[in-house]
Amino acid sequence: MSAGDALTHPWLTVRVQIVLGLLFVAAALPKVVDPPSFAHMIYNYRIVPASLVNIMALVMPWVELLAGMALILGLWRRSANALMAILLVIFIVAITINLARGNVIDCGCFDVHAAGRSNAQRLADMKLDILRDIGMLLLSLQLWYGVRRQEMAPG
Amino acid sequence: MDKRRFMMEAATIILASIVCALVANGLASRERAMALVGDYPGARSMPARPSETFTPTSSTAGTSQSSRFDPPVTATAMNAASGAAAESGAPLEGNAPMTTTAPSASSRPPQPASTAVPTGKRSVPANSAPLKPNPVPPKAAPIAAAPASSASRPSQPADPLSRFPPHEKVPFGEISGDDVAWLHQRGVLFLDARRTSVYEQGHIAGARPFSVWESDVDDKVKALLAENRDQKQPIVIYCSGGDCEDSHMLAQKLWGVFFNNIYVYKDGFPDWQKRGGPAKSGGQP
Repeated sequence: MSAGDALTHPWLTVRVQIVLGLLFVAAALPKVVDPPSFAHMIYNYRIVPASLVNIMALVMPWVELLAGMALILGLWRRSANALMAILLVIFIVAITINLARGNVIDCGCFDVHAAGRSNAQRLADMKLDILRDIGMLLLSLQLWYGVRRQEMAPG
Repeated sequence: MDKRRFMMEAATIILASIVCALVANGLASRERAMALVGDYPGARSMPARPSETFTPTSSTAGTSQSSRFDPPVTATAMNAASGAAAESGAPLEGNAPMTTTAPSASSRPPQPASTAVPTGKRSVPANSAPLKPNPVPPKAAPIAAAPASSASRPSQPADPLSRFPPHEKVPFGEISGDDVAWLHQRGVLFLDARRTSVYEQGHIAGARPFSVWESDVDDKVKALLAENRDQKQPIVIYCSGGDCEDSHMLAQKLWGVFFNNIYVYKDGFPDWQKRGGPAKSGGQP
């Protein structure tokens, strides 16, 4: 079995699919429950125009939640996975921009409340957040090719 | 995979998310609901950084405050402030550090039609001196020692306006715990800009919940206007200190409806707790 075959093996794909789905559902729930806190987090990024902060805070968690649930249930896997990948790229770019301009923020990825940590700790957290999101993006990539292999398989 | 089907599925997830978000927001309590269009000044501008240090220039009767009450203060002394000081007729100065911050785009929004206050837009003048408080009364008592009843309060100048005159051209001034304690002892209106759930865990005694992130903030502003308060009386707004900007956002909002004497407690509730100031928990002020 080649490395490509091993990386897109259905056994691995289904596990990646469930892990990604669970991660997105876990990330979405605190935001769905408390949109104003998530809006505050989005505001702190200083990227989104004021008029879009609230609507983003309301809709984005539901995209995460529904896409995550779709993956867990094995429905619409490619489209759900594509949406997740787009969100991950947005998160990575947003955190990177703030890291580059020295604006220390709480990610708001899995928790919408400020952690009360020092600036140095939060800067370190931002770097870890980027690495984590890149890791999740790699899982998403595996899922993309794994699902494509299943769909192209004869029978 | 069919590209069209792929796009339809993705669009369905997004549409379902929008519907769920709108329904959830419609059913949410006032503390969890939000206006669909946000109104946050400076949403895309970076937080202001301290640019100038203000050294208090005068003291009264040779008194000095206790060391725990006068930490060195780095201030954002903005150009705009002096217009307010000049307009008030008395330069604001004192031995308690006070700083002012005028947000970059500090022009007032149009006055709501429902309010009976003057309308018009005022711009911040350039090239003016920093806003400074008037002389502090001798011996600002530690907060913990502040008597609860007004009858037993020390004989200090009672009128907050004497020390904190209105500043119509500056949205707000930043003040430290000493000034806040002084104003608290005089029964000035305090507004807590943090989330209501946090307010309920503990807040400055007498402060009202006034979160800028909750859907009813505009209703609260209107209710405040409907009280027909003297809009030149000081109002103190606080949040969690540090880089918390909720109080600044609320100050900007209130200045927009012509409250002309707003102060932001820059170190916020954590500092108040450290000082042992009177605090309450629960949903009532």
